[in-house]
This record gives sequence, C-alpha cells and structure tokens, in this order.
Amino acid sequence: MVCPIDLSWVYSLSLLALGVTAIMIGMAYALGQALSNPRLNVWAKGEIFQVFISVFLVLLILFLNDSFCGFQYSSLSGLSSVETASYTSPPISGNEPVFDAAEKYLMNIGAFASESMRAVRSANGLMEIASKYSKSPCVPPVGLCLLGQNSLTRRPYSEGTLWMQIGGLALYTDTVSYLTVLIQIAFIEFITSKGIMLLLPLAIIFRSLPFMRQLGGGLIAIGVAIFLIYPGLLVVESLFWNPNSMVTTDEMSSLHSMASTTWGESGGFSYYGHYGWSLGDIVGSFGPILKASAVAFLSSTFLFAFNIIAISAAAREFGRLLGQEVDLSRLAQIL
Amino acid sequence: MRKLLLALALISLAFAGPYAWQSLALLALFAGLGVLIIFYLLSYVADSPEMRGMATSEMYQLFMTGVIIAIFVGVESFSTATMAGMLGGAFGAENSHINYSINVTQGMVDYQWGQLKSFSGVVGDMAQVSAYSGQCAFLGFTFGYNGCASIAVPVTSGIIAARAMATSLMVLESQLALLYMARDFFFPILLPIGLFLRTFHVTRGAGGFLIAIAAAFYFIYPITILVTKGVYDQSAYGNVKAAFPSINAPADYGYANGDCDPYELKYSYTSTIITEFNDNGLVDPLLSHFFIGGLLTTAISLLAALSSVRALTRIFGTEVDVSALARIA
Repeated sequence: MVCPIDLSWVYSLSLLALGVTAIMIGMAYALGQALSNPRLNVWAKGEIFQVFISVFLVLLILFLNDSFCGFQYSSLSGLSSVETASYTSPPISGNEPVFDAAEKYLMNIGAFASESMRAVRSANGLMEIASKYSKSPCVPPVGLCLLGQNSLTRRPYSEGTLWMQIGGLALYTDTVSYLTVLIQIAFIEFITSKGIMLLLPLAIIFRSLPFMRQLGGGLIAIGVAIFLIYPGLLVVESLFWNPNSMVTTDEMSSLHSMASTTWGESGGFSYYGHYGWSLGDIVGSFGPILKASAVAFLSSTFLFAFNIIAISAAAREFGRLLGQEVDLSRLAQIL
Repeated sequence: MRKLLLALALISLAFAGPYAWQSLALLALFAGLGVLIIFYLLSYVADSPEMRGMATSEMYQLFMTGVIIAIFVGVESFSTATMAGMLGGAFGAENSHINYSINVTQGMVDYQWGQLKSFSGVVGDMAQVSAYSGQCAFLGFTFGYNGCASIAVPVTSGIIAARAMATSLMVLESQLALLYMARDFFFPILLPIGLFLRTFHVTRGAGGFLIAIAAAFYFIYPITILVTKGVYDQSAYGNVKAAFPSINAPADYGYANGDCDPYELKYSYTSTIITEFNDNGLVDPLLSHFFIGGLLTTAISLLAALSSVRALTRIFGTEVDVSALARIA
C-alpha cells in the first residue's frame, strides 16, 4: 500500500527552502546596496522571481502527486477492453490510486512470469525423471535368468533430454523477466519513498544558487518524469496490456497444472510407470510454456525499456526548459 | 478561417474509420486546444507578451497535430482498403494489414511448433537407439556393452538444433504478442496520448516518441513482416517441406533391436543414421524455416520498425534515442 503518502514534511521543507533562499537573496541584495554594486542588485531581483517559479513547480508536482493518490483506478478502467478483473495476484480494485495500481500491475506481471517459471521447472523435473527411466527385461530363455540376468537396456523416454534443453532456454528467459519485474517494483518503491522527495526542496535552493540553476532544473525534471509519468504509463499499460489475456484459458490451465505438479513416487513419473503425465502431455505443455515466456519477456523487459525511453524523453524536454538537459536513458542499462 | 474549416473536416474524420482511435485523437486535439486557449487568455490577465507568443506558436503545433491525424487516417484507410485487396488472395479475407500480419505470424508459429515436435520425435528415436545397451551376467560376472553409444554424437547436434529452433519459436511468439500490443495498445491508445502531449513544448519529446512508436509498430512493423514473408516464400526453401526420416527405435517388447544391435560392432549403424539425419531433406529445410523464416525475418522487421522510430521522433517531436529497445531486440 503506497498511498496515502504523507508529504507534509516535504511542504514544510519546501517552505523552509523558500525562506532560506529568500534570505540568501535578500542578503545579496543588501550587500549589493552596501557595496553599491548594481550587478548584485540585478542578480537578486532576477533570482527572487526564479524562486517563486521553482516553488510553483514543486507545489505543482506535489499537488499532482497528491492527485495521483486520490485518483480512482475505476474511473479509467471503463476505457479499456482488457478484462482488468483477471488481475488476481493481487487484485486491482476500483478504488486504487495510481501508485498502488501501478505497483499491483507489476506484481501481476511478476506472478505471470513466476507461473511460467514454475511450470517450466516442473516440466524439466518431469523430463529429467522420464529421460533417466530405463527398462532392462531379461532376455530369454527365462530359466537362465535365475542364474544371472542377460538383458537389453533401453530408455524409452530419451527424448526428454531434448526438451530439457528447450526448457532451459524458457527458464532463462523467465528468470530475466521475473528479475526485471522485481527491479521495477523496487523502482516504484524507490519513487514513492520519502527520501526521493528530498530532491524537490533541494531543487528550490539549487535553482537560486549561482551556477546551480541547471542542477536544480534537472532535479525538477527528474521529479516530474519519475513521479508522474512513469506510474501513469504503468497504469495505462495495465488497462490495455494484460499478459493473462495473451494466453488462452486452455494454455493457462496447462501452465497452472504443470506449475502445481509435484514429482516423485506419488506424482509425475515413477519407476514403474507414469502417474498423471505421459510424455506427450509434457511435450504438449512446452507450447504454452514457450508462449508464456515470450509474453512475460515482452511485458516485463520490452515495456520497461519503452517506459524508460518515454520518461527520459519527457525529462529531457522539461529539463531543457528549466535550463538543464537530463539524460535518463541510461536507466535502461539496468536491463 | 481555413484552419477552422480544416478542424471541422477533422471532426468528421473522427467517425470515418472502424476504430476508436480517431475519436480519441480528436479529443486529444481539442483538449490541447482548450489548454492553449486558457493559456492565451491568461497571457492577457498577466499582461505577458512572451506568454502570448508562446501560446500562438504552440497553436501552430496544434495545427500540425491535426495534419498528423489526417495523415494517419489516410494511411490507415489505404492499408485497410488497398492492402486487403492485394493480400486477400494470398492470406485470406481480413480487414487490415495488421490482422494479416497476425495471421501470418500465427501460421508460422503453428507450423514451427509442429516441425519442432516432429524433429524432437526423430531425435528422440535416435536418443533411444544411442542409449540402447546390453548386459550379460552369469554367476556374479557381468559384461555390459554400449555398442550404439556413438549415435549420441548426432543426437547432441540434434538437441542443439532443437534449442535453436525453440529460440526461433519464442521470437515468433514475441512477434505475435508485439503485433497484438501494436494493434490493441500502441495505436489506439498511445497515439492519442502522444498527439495530446506533443501539443505542449514541455512534453513534445515524450509525445513525439509515443506517436513514433505507435506509427512504427502499427504500420511499418506488420508491413515489413508481410514483405519479408513474401520474399522468404519466393526463396529456394520457402515452400520446401522437411522430410523426417524414419529411425527405428528398439522395440518395447519382442526384443527387436531397431537400427542398432548393441552387441555388434558395426560402423554402418552410426553412419546410416547420420546419413538419414543429414541427407534426407531434413536439416536444410528446417534450418531455412527456423533461421531464415523465423529469426532473420523477425530481426529485419523489428530493426526496420525501430530504425524508423528514431527518424519519426525527429519528425513528430524531438529526436529520441531508442537504442535500449534495439538492444533488447
């Protein structure tokens, strides 16, 4: 539960920053008067205007941030053709604010990747057992088998070795997808943490310090991009891109069935035969597994890169307006 | 006055097509107009000529947004009407280029999945032959011999090939998901959002990027897929079906050896299977279908789309570096 975020301390700090900056500018103005230095006076007059612009921007960000917490997910979900009710891990209710909806959407993608990962792990486990299964019947004449066994050993499910290699590929992809989702969840937590909000009061001070305006502008640009645009994009994506809707009910059922399999003597293949699964069943389950891996990868990694590029484009333009070009595209290198 | 007439024409276009994106795009356009009008009025309240100048120059961008919408309406009409006629004979009746592309990709996925399962059956039979071994025990002495083990060598090659085929299959599945994403999310949703955002100077970069992504993945990506598929079908192996050899695995009952007797040292056992594996029209068509028809054509389509994104961002907003997406591709 991210919201409500208590931002009263950020408002207080911003006011404090405003006061400190105003005092600094006032002292500069007084010094300018005392030294009869018109450049200092002009600088002070220009800066006091900039301070109010900075405060306005910060208050705007905080206001939008508050609005995001007050925003109802259900007010947007009517726009979507995607069945948002299929989000179950955890469910996204209609009264979720933007930050919570964004985080829960990521958790659902993570659950999807995890389900795919568990399915392929079970399938590989079953294939491991199947491929090692061997038969060594005694070669006739049967009577001589009492003295010693003459047999021809065969492994009827050797094909499993091939599918284990394919499963390894899917497992690798799923692991990358799952870790990428975890990174994004951590990123959302970081965004909504109170520490990052410290950037905003600092931006007010920096924008009024000599030679530091660009840094302050950059901080505000980063604030806008990652506080507002990134969670907003995730919520829009949640309305129109549900990975669960990309697999059919039968495929999801196959994934779930495989993911919840236990193997050993009581389930899967046993030494004397196979319970519950035939080799054909397991091979058949690799179709949905490969599809789920591809969808999980696209939902987690591709969309993450897309979101980062979008927020970096926004931050760059906004930063340029405030005097500092910001390059957030390096964030994509997390991948 | 002329601008007003154009705006009125654009309203009618909003209801011209079968998709909802036009309405949303027009809504975005008018929302942008509303914000700029408020900005313009505020400039009088604040008596700020700079603000007024900025609002006026942004009006020009709004006009350009209207032109962009008109262009997209035209391009989509062309792609749905004209391409349906061009492609109907080859790919069946559909109502848009992207649905053709989805059908083509789904067909390739189904075909490759079938081929992969058939191939795994062949390699599985070979694996059974290679694992076939004999034991003879008498009064405490045991003699074991794996006379067919050398067949494991081509089995290993087969497994590596199957893994590569699975890679191709996953790439095609990703392509399919990306096409659905382009049809259901990028174009109908991101395009209007992008059109709205590009109206304002501050968000023009993000808006241009969203428009570019929507256009590249809705138009260029599926059309390139269809073109590369057509080119591939005309190639030497485009329509050649793989012939799967019949490898005889040892029988479960009856003690029939299949293609190898573990007690006999015969080079021909291995060489026959390898010959079957290599020369029976199996490997070449399969490699072609999976590597050229699957991986290479997908890579070309994706690179074409991503390359165009950068160029389009320059047209629609400001240049955006999309190398992160290219790296994932």
